[in-house]
Amino acid sequence: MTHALILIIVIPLLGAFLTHLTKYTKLRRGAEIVSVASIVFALVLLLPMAKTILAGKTIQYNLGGWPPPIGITLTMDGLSFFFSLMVLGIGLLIIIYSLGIYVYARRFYSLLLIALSGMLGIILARDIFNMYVFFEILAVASYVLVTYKHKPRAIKASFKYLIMTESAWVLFLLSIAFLYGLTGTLNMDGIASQIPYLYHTNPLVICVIFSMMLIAFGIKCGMFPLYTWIPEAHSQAPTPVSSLLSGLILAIGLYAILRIFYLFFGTTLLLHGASELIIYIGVITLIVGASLALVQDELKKLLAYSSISQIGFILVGVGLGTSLGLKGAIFHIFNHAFIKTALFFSAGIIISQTGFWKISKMKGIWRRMPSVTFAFCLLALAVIGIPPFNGFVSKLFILEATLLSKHPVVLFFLCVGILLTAAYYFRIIQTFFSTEEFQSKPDFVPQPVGPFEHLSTYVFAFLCLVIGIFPSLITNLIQPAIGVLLP
Amino acid sequence: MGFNGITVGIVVILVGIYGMITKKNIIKMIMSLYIMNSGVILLFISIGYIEGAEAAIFENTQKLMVDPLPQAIMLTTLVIGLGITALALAMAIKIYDKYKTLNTTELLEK
Repeated sequence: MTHALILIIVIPLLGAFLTHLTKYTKLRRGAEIVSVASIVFALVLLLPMAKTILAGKTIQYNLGGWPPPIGITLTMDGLSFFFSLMVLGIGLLIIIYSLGIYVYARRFYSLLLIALSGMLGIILARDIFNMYVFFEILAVASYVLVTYKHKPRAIKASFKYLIMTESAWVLFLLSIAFLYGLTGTLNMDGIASQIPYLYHTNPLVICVIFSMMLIAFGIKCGMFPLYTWIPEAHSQAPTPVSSLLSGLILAIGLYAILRIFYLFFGTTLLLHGASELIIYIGVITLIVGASLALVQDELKKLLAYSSISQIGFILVGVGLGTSLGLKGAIFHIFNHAFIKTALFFSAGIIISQTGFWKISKMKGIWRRMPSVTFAFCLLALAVIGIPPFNGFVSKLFILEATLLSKHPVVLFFLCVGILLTAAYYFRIIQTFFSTEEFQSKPDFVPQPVGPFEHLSTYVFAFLCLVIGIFPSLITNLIQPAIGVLLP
Repeated sequence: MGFNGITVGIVVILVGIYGMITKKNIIKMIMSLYIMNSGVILLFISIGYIEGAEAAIFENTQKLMVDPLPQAIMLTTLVIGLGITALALAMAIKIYDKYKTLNTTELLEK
């Protein structure tokens, strides 16, 4: 398949429009069938590339047959392969989760597919302006998804998300303008080859471009002072959208940091202090996110703050820049996406069954729904990083890398962060298994929860255990990605 | 520093950022967002501008031509900006319907 790369982006986008057309067919649940089929089709196109990618090669595709300096290029290398596999896999499970909930109509699946195809576009694009356009596609779809149920508070949260993210993209566009003015090309490899020369002649301009990109991607992935949209958007969105935001959209922000910073500034600015900056921002994000989660009483908001603190962990690994640190960071991006998606799923089931949003009201809930509570506890242990779960392995990699690169203060704060994480998750577990009798809401009718919701949650929890016991399943896939970042 | 499109673009962006930081009204925030966007568009187009040059339409002449790429990609940005502004205004209408106010400090309390 010579056109496989563009088809991976186009098929979910086509599916997004076909879901609306199923209204005119006799198909029962046509939108769901179309969305699952298009994701599976994209996966089928992606998987045969594994052999080439794992051998350390790249696949390149020129749109319209124009060669790189003029045309737009799509490239599949180790990093893109890993992230597109993650997006498609988790996207499929999010769609399966929402199959059981009948409130989600065609519009929901259509927007979800647009968001997924936007993410795939960001991952594959090798033209920096195209990356910006795909970021906007993803952003617009996610704003509307957050407001899907038309709750007033959700609209308020989504508006905040819109204002912050759009300011980020304006800054990103400004840095693209500077890069185009300096280098005369929009191709990422073309820009990267000219940056070392520019850095020697005029380091200030490169510093300005770096800081604008750091702010832009920092807003997207939730760095320390810029995370304020995360708790509100995550807690107000419908459950599958919360998982999409926490699992994939934050991961895409981190992908952009990994890809652009290591490609553009890997040999210049990152070696001269910028990596230290990322490490310390990561430490502050970790501690602030964990402390805010500690005092939080709303379950979904607590999970959102927990996401912020895990992002801090990943940023430390990204900033270290050693092979082991990057391995830990990419592995933790994967684990975080996996675990947090499933935690939002189980939190969604618990909230829709009880009608309570506050943790303090959920005392003794394990008698009412033992299996979901059990899955939630397993996943919580995985986030904390207790062996034999997958969170343990990736946190161990990051800690070891910090130790080897001689950052004792950072190491201390990472351990404090892990302890804080344990503190707030054990508080939830303690409340869930409280001996007090569960007091249900008097006039609350629980919405029926079907097998699909349960199935996807258990599949995630089981996979966390499997990956924790056999981490080489994933680390083998990460190895070519590190080869891309550190040539 | 000469008085050219790049300088004006940066000034317009700064005006937008100022509005974004200081204004409390949702409509004014959307306007600031659009002003920021317009500033970037002006700056980007000025990068490809050459004084006295013509639009890049090929005829058999040897005249100077401006860089057509910024113009082409800024068309895309204009369309994106339009879509985002429309969506944000739709949200502003919804927020006003529910809360009867557009002031962000009042909205945070509700």
